[in-house]
Amino acid sequence: MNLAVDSSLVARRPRAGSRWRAIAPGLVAAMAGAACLAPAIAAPERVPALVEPRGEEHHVGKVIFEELVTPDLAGAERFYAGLFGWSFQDLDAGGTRYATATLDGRLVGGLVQRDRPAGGHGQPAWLTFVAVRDVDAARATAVRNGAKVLLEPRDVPDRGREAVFADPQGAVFAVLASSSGDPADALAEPGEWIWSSLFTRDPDTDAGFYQALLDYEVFDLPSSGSDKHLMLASEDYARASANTLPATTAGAHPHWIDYVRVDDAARMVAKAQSLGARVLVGPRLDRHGGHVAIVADPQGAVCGMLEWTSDDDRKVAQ
Amino acid sequence: MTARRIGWSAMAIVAGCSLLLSAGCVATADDGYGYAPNVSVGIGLGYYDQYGGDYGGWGPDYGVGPWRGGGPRPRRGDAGGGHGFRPAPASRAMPSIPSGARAGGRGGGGRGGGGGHGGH
Repeated sequence: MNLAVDSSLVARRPRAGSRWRAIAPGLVAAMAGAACLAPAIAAPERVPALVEPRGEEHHVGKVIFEELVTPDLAGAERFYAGLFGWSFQDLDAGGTRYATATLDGRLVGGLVQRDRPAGGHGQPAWLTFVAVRDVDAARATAVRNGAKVLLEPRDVPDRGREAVFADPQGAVFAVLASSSGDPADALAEPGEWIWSSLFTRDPDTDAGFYQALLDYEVFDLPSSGSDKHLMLASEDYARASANTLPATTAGAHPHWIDYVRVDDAARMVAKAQSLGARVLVGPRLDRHGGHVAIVADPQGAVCGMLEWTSDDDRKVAQ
Repeated sequence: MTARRIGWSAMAIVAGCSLLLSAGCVATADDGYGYAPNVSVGIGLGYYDQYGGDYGGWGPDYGVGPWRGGGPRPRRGDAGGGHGFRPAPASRAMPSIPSGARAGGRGGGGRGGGGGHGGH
């Protein structure tokens, strides 16, 4: 057996190896550089500021934003466009499909597409954002009073700082310190969010939690039986109600619901049904003199509707 | 381990970390709400709720809306009893939602007369 080795091969191998070793750091550096640059090149679009032009108003305790998570962004857009006349702008959010919703150019919410969690227990939902001045301080207060942190405080460019908590009864909500200020207190137009309700097993305890967190004034409203009807207020404005979950809804989990202002709840419920919604609570007269209704959109996210006539409308009607 | 191998390993770690950073992912443990795994860096919180749309049982006086105002504050019979909160003083009138019209801009304006995202 000829064990002689071609000397040229022996000589070439080290040369190739040394070439590779010389190139490799450069390749690695290039890969690292490209990796670093990639996010910048394909930088996700930013969500719009809550208030434009930027303002300096802050209204702690006010519900200032709503965000929907849905497995079908296009379907949700069709539904809310058809029902409330919202327009949408899809954003390239770096892999996240996100759309901002506007009504006559005014921001009314955000929509996020996500696959349903494995196991099928998740339900599409609107997440309620309440205004705070200091998210980290709110986190400390919330935890001290029995909340669970679901999303640690984080900065969102142009939007502010936010965090998500589950209150002591398990209702999930977000807090937002808007970097552009909070929307002014004005009467919502039809098609805009006008009101929010907390449904919980123990409104007393939960009201105490939100009072500690957001310095709400709490008003106790009359009700029959053991149900509690509370009103949460700040800056001399009602911000939300807190209600006992009816005993018959044993399967319901404490949660927040937000309501869109409508002129005619019955007509809007029929319209929602024609667009694929399910009626959870049919139009019923409420204490403010108008009707409320609750529907689930075609993907299952729950949305309230509340009739509200302006004072001017009432004077005309009288 | 030779210095050369350490160098290669370091470079591999740098490259790997860079790729991970560029992917912009976070992996977090499920917290029981089905929440954390749906959260990504960037925009959109991706929260799926866990309740099941169980509605009904609203009695005839089950109210969820705001108080309209303009009348005397309704009083609960057991006002002054034990609460998990500090009740508003009895002298305080029940507030309603904002009633002012919106001014220009998106979300801007003044109290009671400015623009706003809804009238919460």
